Amino acid sequence: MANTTVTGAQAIHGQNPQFLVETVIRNRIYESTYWKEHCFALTAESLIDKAIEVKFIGGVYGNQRPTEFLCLLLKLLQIQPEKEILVEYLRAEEFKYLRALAAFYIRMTFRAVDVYELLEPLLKDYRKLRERNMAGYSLTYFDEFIYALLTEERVCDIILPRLAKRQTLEENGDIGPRKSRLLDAMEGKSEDG
Amino acid sequence: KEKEEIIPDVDDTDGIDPAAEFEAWRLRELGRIKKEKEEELHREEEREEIERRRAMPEDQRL
Amino acid sequence: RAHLRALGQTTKLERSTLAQVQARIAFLRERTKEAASAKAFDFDQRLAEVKA
Repeated sequence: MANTTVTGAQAIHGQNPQFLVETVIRNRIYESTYWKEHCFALTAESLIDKAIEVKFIGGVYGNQRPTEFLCLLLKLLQIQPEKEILVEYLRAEEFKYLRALAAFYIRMTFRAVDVYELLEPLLKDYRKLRERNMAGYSLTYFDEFIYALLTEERVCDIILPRLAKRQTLEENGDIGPRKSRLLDAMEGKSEDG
Repeated sequence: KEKEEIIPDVDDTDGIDPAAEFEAWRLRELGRIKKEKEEELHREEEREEIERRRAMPEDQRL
Repeated sequence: RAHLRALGQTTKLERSTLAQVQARIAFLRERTKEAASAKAFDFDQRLAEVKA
């Protein structure tokens, strides 16, 4: 029960959302102490408290141990909160690791258009993020993390679902051109333009 | 209880040197914009190449 | 699962509502106030300087 997906969950990209985390890693998570002790019975509400305590992003480290970040990601896939809740997580900008978690989940589960529209504005968030991987800790930045989510196939040891190219969506008229606050500023446009 | 209180060796505190942090971001953002521009240019060139080939008479195309 | 039932715990997870989530964030935000607003201001000001 503790590891089953919430009843009534929507299939994401045609499968049980939890399967978006490959089996080996998923089983590592189910076996981890953090999962068993801290993630059991978490709700979209109580998960917030856990997420703001997170000290680093990352996939697996050491002896294939999953980070807390990864555990919480799987938890989100399991409980599948409403879209509005994820947007609310993103808005809580002072909690950068919660925000990072929400961004990751959105990248994994939302439609391509929503992914671009919700994540691109975060490219202006230049705060530091600590990342843990096999090699130890390293420093990255929120904008870099977001950019990786938008352009890479694999982030934090998770294979990301295919994302339609921005260009394709633009050509179909599904999405406007990407805005950069920096570019706007340099071209002297108004800030809210 | 295995309590390995790991002290991360990387500091993620923001706002220590706001000017430098902003500047670093500005350079990253510029890099991204540049990369996107280049990719667009590349696509444009490819498209033109295809157009050009299409416009060619049959015998020349081969 | 059976043992949880025996303990009188439900195995059914209640779903949080948007309102609960908003309230929780607002509460936590109160607790950690200062930082964020200062930073947002900083960003806009610096962007303005880029423009100049």
